[in-house]
Amino acid sequence: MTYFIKKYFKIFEIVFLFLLSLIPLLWFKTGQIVIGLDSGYAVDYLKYFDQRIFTWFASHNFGVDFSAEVGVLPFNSGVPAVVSMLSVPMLDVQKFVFVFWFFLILISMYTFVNYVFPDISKWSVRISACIIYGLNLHLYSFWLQGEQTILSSYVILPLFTLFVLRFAQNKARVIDTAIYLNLVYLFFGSGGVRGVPLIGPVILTSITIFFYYFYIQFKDEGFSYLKRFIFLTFVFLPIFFLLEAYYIFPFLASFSHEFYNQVTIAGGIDGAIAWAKFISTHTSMLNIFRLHGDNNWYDKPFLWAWSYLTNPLLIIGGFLLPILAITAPIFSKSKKEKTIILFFALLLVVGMVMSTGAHEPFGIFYTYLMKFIPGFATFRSAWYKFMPTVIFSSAILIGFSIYYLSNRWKPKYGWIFSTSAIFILLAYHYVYFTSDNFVYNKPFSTMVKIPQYVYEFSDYQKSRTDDYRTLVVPHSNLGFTIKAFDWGYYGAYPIYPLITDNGFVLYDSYLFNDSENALVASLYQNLREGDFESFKKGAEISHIKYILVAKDVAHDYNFAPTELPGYYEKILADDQHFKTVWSAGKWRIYEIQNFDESPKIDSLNTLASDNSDYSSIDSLFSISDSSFVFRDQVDHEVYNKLPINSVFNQLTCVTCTLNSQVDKPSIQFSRINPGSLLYSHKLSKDNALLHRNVTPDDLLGLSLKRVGEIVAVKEVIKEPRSSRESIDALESAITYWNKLRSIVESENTNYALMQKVSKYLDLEIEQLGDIYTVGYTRDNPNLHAVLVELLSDLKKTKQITDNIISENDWDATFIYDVVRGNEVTRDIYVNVNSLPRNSENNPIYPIQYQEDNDSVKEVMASGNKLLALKENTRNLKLIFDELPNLAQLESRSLELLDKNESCLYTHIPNYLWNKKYQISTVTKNTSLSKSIYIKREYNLLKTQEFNPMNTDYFNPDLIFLPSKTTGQSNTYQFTGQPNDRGAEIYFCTDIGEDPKEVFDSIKINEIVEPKVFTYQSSIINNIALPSVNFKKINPSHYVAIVKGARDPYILNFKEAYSPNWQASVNNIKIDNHFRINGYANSWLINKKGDYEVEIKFYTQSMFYKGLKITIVTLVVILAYMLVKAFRNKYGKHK
Amino acid sequence: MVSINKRIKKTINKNKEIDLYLFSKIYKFLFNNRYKVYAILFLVVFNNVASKIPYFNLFFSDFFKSIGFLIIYMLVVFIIGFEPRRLYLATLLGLSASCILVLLNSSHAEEIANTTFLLLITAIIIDIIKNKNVLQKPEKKN
Repeated sequence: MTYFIKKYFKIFEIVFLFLLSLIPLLWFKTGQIVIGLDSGYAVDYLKYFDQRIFTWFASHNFGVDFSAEVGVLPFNSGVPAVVSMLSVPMLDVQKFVFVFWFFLILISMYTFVNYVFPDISKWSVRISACIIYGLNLHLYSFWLQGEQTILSSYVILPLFTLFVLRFAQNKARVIDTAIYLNLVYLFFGSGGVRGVPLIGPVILTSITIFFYYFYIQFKDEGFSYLKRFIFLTFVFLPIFFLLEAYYIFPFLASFSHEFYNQVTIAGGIDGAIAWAKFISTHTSMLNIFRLHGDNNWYDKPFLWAWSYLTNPLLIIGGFLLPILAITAPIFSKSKKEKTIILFFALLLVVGMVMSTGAHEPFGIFYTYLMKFIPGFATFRSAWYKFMPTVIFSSAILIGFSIYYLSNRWKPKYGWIFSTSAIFILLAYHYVYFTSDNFVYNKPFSTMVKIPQYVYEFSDYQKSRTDDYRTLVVPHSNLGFTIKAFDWGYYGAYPIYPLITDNGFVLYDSYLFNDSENALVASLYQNLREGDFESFKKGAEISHIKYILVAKDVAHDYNFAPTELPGYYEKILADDQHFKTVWSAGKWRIYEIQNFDESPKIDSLNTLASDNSDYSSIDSLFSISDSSFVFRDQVDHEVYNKLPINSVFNQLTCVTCTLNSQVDKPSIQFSRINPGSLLYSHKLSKDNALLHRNVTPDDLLGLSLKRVGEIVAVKEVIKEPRSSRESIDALESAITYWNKLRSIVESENTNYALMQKVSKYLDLEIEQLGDIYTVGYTRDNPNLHAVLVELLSDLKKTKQITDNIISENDWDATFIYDVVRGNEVTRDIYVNVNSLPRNSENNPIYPIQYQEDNDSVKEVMASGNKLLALKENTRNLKLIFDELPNLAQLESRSLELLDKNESCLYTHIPNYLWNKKYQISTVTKNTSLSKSIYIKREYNLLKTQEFNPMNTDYFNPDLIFLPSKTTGQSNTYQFTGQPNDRGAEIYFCTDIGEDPKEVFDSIKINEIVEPKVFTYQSSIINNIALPSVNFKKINPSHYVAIVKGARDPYILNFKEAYSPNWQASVNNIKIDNHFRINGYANSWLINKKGDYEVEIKFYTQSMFYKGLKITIVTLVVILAYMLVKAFRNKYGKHK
Repeated sequence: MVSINKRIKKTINKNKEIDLYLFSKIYKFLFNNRYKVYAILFLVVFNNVASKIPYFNLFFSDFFKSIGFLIIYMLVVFIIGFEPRRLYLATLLGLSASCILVLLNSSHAEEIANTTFLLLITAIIIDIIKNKNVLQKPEKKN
């Protein structure tokens, strides 16, 4: 029996690990699956897998380049799809996937520990290490999302380390090691290029092994060790490129594009560093020691991690882990043990330094690496990426300590000790045995029950035969593009591509291109405004025929509120323009009526050219039916060949900046002030700037700096040294302002500069005026005189800026720069949607206009055409009658928290959350209290993180406090939130008083910026259009069948533009590829006759080539291993 | 049978010996480490004086806050030296102290943990250096 146990003991160990890997079965509740956040699981696994085998992901918006995502294919969609293919019921697929990964993690760790500690007697090292490695809290966060790329990174670490260690110990040959390492990487490489940050621990561990063994055997082996590693690298890399070719090839083919996307997402190096600092908020050594530090765990009492931060037993347990780990080097005695234990101790500290990331005290080191080592910024989430190294090394060290401590007892008691220790380890990680922790922030969870109507929606999408896209309403939150549903889904990734391969368009961060963003924004805005014609034009060029209203969107979620679905329902209820084609549960799909059903690939013979910025799309739709190009998106040479039949140019409003509130500057204090030893040096250095090309911004900055210094030393300004250098500072400020005044006088139409200068003047006059009034300088005549001179200069300049700024009522007067980009026509049009509205919601046209300094003329508008300009006009001034006052005041008393007030209140008619409103009033009475309150109408959803405040008193959203000075005018601006139903404004004073005696001339108006443009169209005759049909081979390959081409024409392909889309006729590539309609692909083709145009996404062919290379290499490697195995066997027999 | 008085007397004498022995040990320890003691005293005095100097004290207290863990580390290494076993034990002590400070919700826990980490690095590096010749060499292959 004992013999039997000894012989098969390790099989028992593996069986035990398998039983542990069934833990995920405890997590799944009936009918629920894991989805959302970073999980990557789909609703329809096979449909999703079908999409992911292509480098062009067509169902998301206008299509997304997934060339760099191919490496993720086996993990994110491959494993669940394979399980699904085995006829496993959909709701059980994830159970298999989770158990599969759990067992792989445990067995890979077991394989490694078994190599290091193979003795039967050291079973406790193996089991304890596997438990810590497979059931730690870092990994648990990822189990809650079932993130397969992270799970695979946990599998690869012990296996990769095993082969590198064997090589460093001179136990394996170069070629064998290179092959094994590559095979491990092929199967568990954590997602190809995207997974590079996840293999940080593998890289770190390998480097540590290299240097550790290099150090301890340098004396014996010298540089031959180094040579062996160099040789390994040279053998490893070619095999690596061949074996991983299936994702490296498409990635390299799209590298520049991908790089741009990644940099955009990360916000550049500075953005990556800021993110690293955010992630490292809690990665102190104190937390890393006890394997804590996840940024999400803290300040959330409802989260599972809270017990580990507050429960004394778990706190002590957390510290016992590092205590046991650190004890291991003390216990290790034999050479072999000492070598391996010291290596893992070293790896532990290296891993700890990296895991702390940007947190003190080693944060400087990490940010330095991010700044100066190319590519290191990819490891911006330090804790998530490097913590497995700490856990890996801790697991071995703790396992060893438990074994050593158990060995100090008699064998029987040793068994009891080891078993108890293992039990305690499992008990410490008790969260693994609970099932309620998938809740992210109730009601949002990563484990949810998918509503029945979502499955019905999936069936409906499968039954569709057309390829039109669907626009999703309501609009996602603009600032935080999270998608949340009231049934629990919560993720940045939209749910629709997880359900179907039909295209769905919604605003989110995957719209990398600004013009795509502008197009989608205009679709939503036109729908909101009820401008059906403009909306339809936008929808037709976007290939959008359907609108999905998702009423289950968590629109009242406080963190990312969205518009009210009901708002769109009202608009879409208009039978004339929209028709319901499908409805189930909370989802309803409408079809756009009278839709021009042009195919996905068609031909065009004319184009409009938009010569302005992307925000002009709305205005362009108001006048043109044609497809269009943005002038700056087409290569100059190609542009000149295009059949442009109309030119559009939106004029720039130069005074509109005066209607926006500019942030006030604030005084910046310095450590070196007048009186300081270094001050004269600082001042002369600053003044040296004046000899160069100094900008108005530089001068404003310098003047504020000087004023800040004077304010800082005002208390000690009488002291001789301080006063002497203060005079220098003030005289310098006078010089700056003399220069600024001459700039202001010469650039009197630069309204943005006027506004800025005016704000600086307000602040500086206020600060220096205080010093003058209190009399800090009065005892020193020289100083006082300079201060008075500066104040007088400032007031003079203020007078100039005020005259310019207040020369018109800029709410109703707008000046446009006509010169810029307008070389074609003098006819001026207006986008009617951008005009102010009267109380009946009808547009108000300008009544007068003025060209440069000519006399004012009357506007005779006809439709959207306003007027015709003279030649050589530079500026156009449009004058509106006074804009309507939206205020409809009524009296009401308010009960606030600590007092009651008498108010005048008004509801804002036709309120829309994304419009900007201005409130103005004049103070009438100085003695009574005055407050303006803004109360928006909205609800907020109760979540675990947020409990909306329900008060029985009035609780405003915004408070403005008007000036106390009689006759003083007060102006405020505000804009709403997406989930607003309406808004009210209150003008309040003391209870019992009449607010009309306190507030005079109350006015509320919408701030508008009339969009004015020039448009000229001409008829281009005799361009015959060929007929175009097409075949879709797959999402990355189309064939356009062209018949009867006689003249040059444009082939329009309505997938998102990418340089990787390539068109060819008879394998000859067509050049003249450009972006059309802000998002799509077009080719100018000059070939006559009937022929087929192949349109292919280039990186897909690279994927096929790479895949072939991968398969051939794998076969060769397997054949080599087989031959080797035969030889070994044959050799042994011999 | 020994009388009760004699027993008391014997106990007192024994205690006296113990006391003397302890004193001499402490004296010897302090004498042998007198430069370290001077350094500590200097730091304490410097800290007190510097904290009184206007303007300088702001920088000084900030500075000391940020490198406090390093100073504690230097003091510990001054006292216990570079003996790996002692350093490991100091690390364990540091971790235990951190644990207690966390339980007491003290803000000094992070500082102590940083010091502990430095002690751990020192212990491991010195352990590797000292055991360089003892550590198992890779197998030589032909």
